[in-house]
Amino acid sequence: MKFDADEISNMSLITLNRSEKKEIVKRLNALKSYLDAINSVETPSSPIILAPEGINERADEPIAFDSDKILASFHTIKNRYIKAPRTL
Amino acid sequence: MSSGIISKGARQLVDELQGGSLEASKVFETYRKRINELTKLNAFITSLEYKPNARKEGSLYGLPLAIKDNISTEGIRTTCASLMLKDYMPPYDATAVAKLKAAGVSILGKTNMDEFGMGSSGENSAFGPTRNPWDIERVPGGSSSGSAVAVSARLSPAALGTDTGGSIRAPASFTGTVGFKPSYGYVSRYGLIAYANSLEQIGVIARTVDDAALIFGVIRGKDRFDSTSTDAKPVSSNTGRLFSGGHFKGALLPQLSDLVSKDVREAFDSSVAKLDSEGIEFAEERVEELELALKSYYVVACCEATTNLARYDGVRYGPVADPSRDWKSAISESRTMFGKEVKARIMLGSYMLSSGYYEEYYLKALYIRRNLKLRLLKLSESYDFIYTPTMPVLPWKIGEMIDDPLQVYLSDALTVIANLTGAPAISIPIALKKGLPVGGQLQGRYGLDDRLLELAATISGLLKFRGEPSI
Repeated sequence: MKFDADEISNMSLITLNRSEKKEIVKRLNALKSYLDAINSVETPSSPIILAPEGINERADEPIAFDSDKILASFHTIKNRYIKAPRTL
Repeated sequence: MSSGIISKGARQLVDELQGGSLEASKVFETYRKRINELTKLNAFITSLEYKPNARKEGSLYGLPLAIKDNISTEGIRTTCASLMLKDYMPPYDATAVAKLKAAGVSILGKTNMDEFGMGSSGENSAFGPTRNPWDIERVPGGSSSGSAVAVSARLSPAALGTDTGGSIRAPASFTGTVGFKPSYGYVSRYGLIAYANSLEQIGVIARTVDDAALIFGVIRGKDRFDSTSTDAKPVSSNTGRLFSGGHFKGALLPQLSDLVSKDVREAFDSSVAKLDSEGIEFAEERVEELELALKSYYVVACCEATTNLARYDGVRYGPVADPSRDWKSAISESRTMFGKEVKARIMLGSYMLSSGYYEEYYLKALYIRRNLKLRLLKLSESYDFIYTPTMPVLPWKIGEMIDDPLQVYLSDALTVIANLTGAPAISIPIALKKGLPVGGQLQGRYGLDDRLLELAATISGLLKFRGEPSI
């Protein structure tokens, strides 16, 4: 896919009006040309999303997801009213 | 200088409230009156009436606080400064808010911000730009613009903010306040409306380091609703330097000085000279990995924003479009409620996550991030902290940067480092230049938040910054 504002807006389900388009394209182009330098970084063949050893390690076990308990607690929540969104 | 109740910091107010020499309702009403008098600053999106907190035994009983408008508050409108959520009423409190309420805090209101946290100036709000109390024609920094302005202009003794790439520290620097971003995971993100999960953190804006530490002490800790939260001590804390006898060693990063304006550099160099004369040792370090840090940040942030903001589709959140239309145009119509900056970042994130570009942008950004994290972890074995200016420039005039968006993005260069690595960082006011505040940033080692706060309090005491806007 080429870097084309119409194509990207279509893909990301973002509609741009004429005045927005001018300004957003300017921002996109500025950021894109700035970020392009990242393309030249050489990455190793080994996985690169591993957490570094010895940092952010947790000593505890994650709590199990108890869906029954969550569903059971639903009716105990006070003020459950959420204002309905407007229709365009 | 301010006087009376509004001149007191959070710690002093708590002491006097607990001692019985002040009444909670009087403190709240004093701030509420001032909020109503200074609406021109546009610091609040929603201000509230006094509602007594029954937790009289709470450690912060009677303290009024402002909350950034992307942190969920039960029954109180939470907009993220976006038309998309202008009527959204959360059915629950964020954990940080619940902890504050349990400690006896009363909420003054919800503060203005850059939409969904996307911005460094406070200009990208659907509710209009926030204004800097030091010069109302200038930006206060963002994205926690309203929280910082509320503290600086004495509209609140302290405030909660959130920091994804500097969103607490940048406005703290521009408004002469203290802005503290804790280590990633040290404050629960449950109830924080997500923009970039792996980067963002709830933190505190206050008048002093001591006040920031007071609030942080209440909101910190592991939370069963946020699996990334922790209160565990870092695994290798024994390899970090330990403060001994008041002797501290700070790392300077001269390669970043090209980004810094002459005014800010002068103020920063003076602070280094002053601290050096007080016995704090500094040494310069070159960190190659910093060259691509900001680029890595923007790739990760935009990609995560694209994913997180997919929920605003008119079905789960956001205005419902005409249901007779096909799903694609109905979602697109609902998403017209986003502002320009949000649209730009979603589009860029979609592009960089698309087939063929994911490896060229996103994976490479993660690689850069990992290397930076490892390098700074290594650096922290030789230093107590990294010291830089917080923002590379003085606050600019509202609208001044509209034709040069890259300059606004570049202003995050010094703050994103702590978000990429997850380390704690704090901005403290160090000087005034041309009548505007300049902030200095201290970045610590992951997990050693208390040490960083101690150090910041010491340095703040040595620099003796005294100033407040005359508004």
